[in-house]
Amino acid sequence: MRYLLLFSLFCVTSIAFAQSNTISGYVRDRETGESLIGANVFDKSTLKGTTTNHFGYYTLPLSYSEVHLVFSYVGYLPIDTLITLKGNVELSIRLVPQSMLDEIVVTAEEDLVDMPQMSRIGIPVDQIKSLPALAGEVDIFKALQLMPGIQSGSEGSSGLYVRGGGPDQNLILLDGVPVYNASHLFGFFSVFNADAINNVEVIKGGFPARYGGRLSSVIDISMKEGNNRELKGTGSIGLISSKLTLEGPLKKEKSSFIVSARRTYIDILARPLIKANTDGDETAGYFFYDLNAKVNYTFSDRDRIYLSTYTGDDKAYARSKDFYVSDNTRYDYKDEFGLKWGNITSAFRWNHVFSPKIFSNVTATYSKYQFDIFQEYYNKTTTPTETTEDSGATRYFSGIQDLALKTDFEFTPHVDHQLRAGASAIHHTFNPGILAYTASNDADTTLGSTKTRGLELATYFEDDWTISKAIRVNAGVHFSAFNVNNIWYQKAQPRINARYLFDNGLAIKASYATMAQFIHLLTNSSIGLPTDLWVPATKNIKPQYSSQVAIGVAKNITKTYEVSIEAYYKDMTNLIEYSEGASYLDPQKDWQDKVSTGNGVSYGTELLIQKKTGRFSGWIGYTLSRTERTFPDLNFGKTYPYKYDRRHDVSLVGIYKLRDDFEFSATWVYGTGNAVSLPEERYAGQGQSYNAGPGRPTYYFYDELLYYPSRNNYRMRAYHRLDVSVSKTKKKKWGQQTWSFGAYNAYSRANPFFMDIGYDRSGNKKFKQYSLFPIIPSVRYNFEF
Amino acid sequence: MRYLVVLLAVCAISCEVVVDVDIPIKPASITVHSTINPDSTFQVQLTASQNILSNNQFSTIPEATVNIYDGEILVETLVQNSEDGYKGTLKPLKGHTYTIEASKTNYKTVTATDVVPSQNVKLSKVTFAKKTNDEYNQQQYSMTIEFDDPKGENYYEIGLYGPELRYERDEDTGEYVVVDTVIIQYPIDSEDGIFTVEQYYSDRFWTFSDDVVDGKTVKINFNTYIYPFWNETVDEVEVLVAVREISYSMFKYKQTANLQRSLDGDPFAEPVPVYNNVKNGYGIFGAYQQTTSTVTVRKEE
Repeated sequence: MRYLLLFSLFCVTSIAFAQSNTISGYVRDRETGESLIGANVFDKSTLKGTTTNHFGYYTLPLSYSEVHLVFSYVGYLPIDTLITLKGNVELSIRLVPQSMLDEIVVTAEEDLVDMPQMSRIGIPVDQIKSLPALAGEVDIFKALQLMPGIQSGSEGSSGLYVRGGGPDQNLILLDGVPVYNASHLFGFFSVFNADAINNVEVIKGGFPARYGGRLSSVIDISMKEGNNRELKGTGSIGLISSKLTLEGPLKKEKSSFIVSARRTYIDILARPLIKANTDGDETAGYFFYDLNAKVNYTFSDRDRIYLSTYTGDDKAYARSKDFYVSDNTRYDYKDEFGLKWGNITSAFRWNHVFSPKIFSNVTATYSKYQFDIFQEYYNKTTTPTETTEDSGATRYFSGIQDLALKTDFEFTPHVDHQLRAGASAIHHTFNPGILAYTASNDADTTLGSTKTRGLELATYFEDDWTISKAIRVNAGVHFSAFNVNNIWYQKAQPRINARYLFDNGLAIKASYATMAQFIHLLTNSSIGLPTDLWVPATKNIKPQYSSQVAIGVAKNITKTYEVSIEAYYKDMTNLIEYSEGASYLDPQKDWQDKVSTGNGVSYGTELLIQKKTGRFSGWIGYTLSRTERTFPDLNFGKTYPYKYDRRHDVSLVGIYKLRDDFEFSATWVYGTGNAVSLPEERYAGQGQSYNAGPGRPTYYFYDELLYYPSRNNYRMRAYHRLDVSVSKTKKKKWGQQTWSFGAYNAYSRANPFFMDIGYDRSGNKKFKQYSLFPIIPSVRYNFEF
Repeated sequence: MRYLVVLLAVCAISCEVVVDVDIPIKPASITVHSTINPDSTFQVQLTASQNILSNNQFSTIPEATVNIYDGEILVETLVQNSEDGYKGTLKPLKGHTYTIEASKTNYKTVTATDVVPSQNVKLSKVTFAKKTNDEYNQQQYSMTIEFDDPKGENYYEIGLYGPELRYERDEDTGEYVVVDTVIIQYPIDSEDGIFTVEQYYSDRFWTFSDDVVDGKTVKINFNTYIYPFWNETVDEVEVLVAVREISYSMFKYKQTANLQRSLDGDPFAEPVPVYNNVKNGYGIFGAYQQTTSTVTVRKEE
């Protein structure tokens, strides 16, 4: 409550002194009409300014009349304009893209040293597309993994582990809708099709009060709105997948659409081969697809609506059928096994400008994630006199479904204060693992946990306050509550980011944030599977909480290099992990009986050096960190390293634009090996005696026990990998084409995926390390029209 | 299982690389197995541990020096009475703290300490009742036991002993006749939620902690078979119910060892480290004290 009072005081103070005129409007791309998120708008004479929000809107109250306004955004020609203010001015700007840029800029937002927000990363989607990619498939998450503090999990995985947090602790938002499983192909690709994405922003600490619900990061992804001037298309054909994106106006300057689809076709290519080898009796395959679609309509400068949706599925399947005849009886049988999982998200958003100083957005969302393992069989026996049939099916499914409504207000009473407030309600439905068995000759059986519903409410208040030229603060409070099975949990979460700017351009920043998370992901630590279960906090399993402090410095060096160093300390409580010996392949046990709860801590230092301009651009990222877990019921209560505790994590990224139509890029990553639990010795367990008879000796037999010195006691080999890519673009009458050639894991390092004990060809026991992906060359044909 | 096949198919496209992992090859250590109780003399089995990559059988350690200390006082040196066991002549006392020290050339000397529980469990109720036949049409009996648990952490094991009839075929009549009766431990089974320790197939004691019944009356139902009743001529049988108060070390060892055994190579289960109270070695030096109650069960009860 004291935070609310404090901010109310800010508000009243600001309004009292606000004798200003306001310039407001939208900043968009002149060619496409696409909103530019995070564009800079500032008065050149006073350096007072702001940035556009997620809808390209800005508002700038100024208390003087002569204004020299500059609009700028990466990759676009800036616009300078002189304005004499005699009242409120509505000024929407369309920036012209610089198609022949010599410069590549890494961040598109406010100057790193100016903003109080720390631990924030933005990578332009165009730059993500320039990076080498596995099988040529551009992946937003893999690009984010190249940033300090953000780690990948296992080889190839798209999972994100941010500052020692788990993959469930990332709030992944697609147009404001949470996406619960962001992986295709067992985690090797993320579900986000880069062709449909406008903006990606990641916050890993110092969270602004408007975000909540997860402990470790916010990954805010905005879909494109669609070209509102002319029909355009982009697409690509690759070795494993192809994609096509169409966008254009529905009503010029008023309404536009974008549709983007992607599908893999390994299954289609392999199907004839499998059928040919099995006389058509068997088929098996795997594919994934996803589809993004969005429409928007501008009623006026004050009202605009958006409707966006995403749907995507992965499916692995095997089918077989056959028959045989014996003693005048024909036996037919069919069998199908499959595993499928996917997300559906939808968002309806309404922007309304109440006044030049007050912008609002109302969002209604739907999100569903479900996985389903099924096996079906059908048998038919036909004799000369009768036919009997027998069929059955087994399903194991789980998922989560959300319905949410939220509203956000931005109020800028004074150029030095930007206030935000909002509220949200999310209705969760959890399906934490149901096993259903049906058979034609037996009663139906259902085992496992029952459906659970939860209601999550949240409200926040936030102020971005420029106290002086040197000091700027973003402070607020997020309050959230969760109801499940008539139990209420609530948590007030204060947040603050502060910046002190020295005259020499060096900025010192500090932040503190507490977070609450009312849902857990019950995940097997050995490999990330789509079968991981989303479960709510319950009476026995409490919500997760965290608090994080960070301090850092940032400085621009000769306008060419941007350097930032941050140190952080994060503690997390009420984390869950599978108990020792628990297996998720045990649907008869309630999930709550299979987990242990405990705490975690992560601390480290992150260094990021970026070169933002010139034909050669890129960055060096380095993280030195330690992440530990302490669970009373695991490892005999002793602290142990988190599976993804990575002492050193290095990424080198370079993009070299040799000519305007020829580009070369390379990335190299290094990471300390993941921690795994490996036994070191065998020793005798319980003995059993056997007496061969009177007067004969007694023989003892012992079973075997394995000695694990500690949980996650062993480090796998270090991970390192070089990826390279070359692309050549050529203008055509119908548009342009780009050929991209690349190699993932260019020097074919056998990076560890998992380890096990096996035998060599001589029958000797060995520790075996299994690796995925040797060098994988790729070629991709991209086109735009 | 088919699901695993799909996963393995993913792995199949990968390249399998066999690497030697640099796990230090430690010299073999002494593994101790001893559970002492006031009704038996000290007895210990010693075996040698093996490197995780060895295929060798576990060998017993002969000619070791095994000392037993009561507190800090040496009370007995055990004597190897066969190639696999060391035995003493003294019996442990309730409430006393014993330390075992085993040494042998080329091995690190191991020590382990445990306290013999001193509570006298008083069984307030032991009843048997006839139940419905099981799925194989065998007559089942329920066994209900009650006793008072004192405040504080306590750990128990429950078992049931009874006679088993040994038959031989009469050459003249061709019929099987009873030639001997031996006392064996009967299998018992319970669905009571108090049992959170995995059962190991060769261990017929059921183990639990008093977490959820601390300071209260413990009442547990079991199912069992009274084997001699399978003989039509037997109408009543004398059985012996054993309740053991076991030490914390013994409980933790059984809990974790049985759990590790139960995984049986499940790659999706989290590994289980086994509790170990043997310094410089492995195994268990545990203690218990046992209370028994003899009950006559009638066939038609």
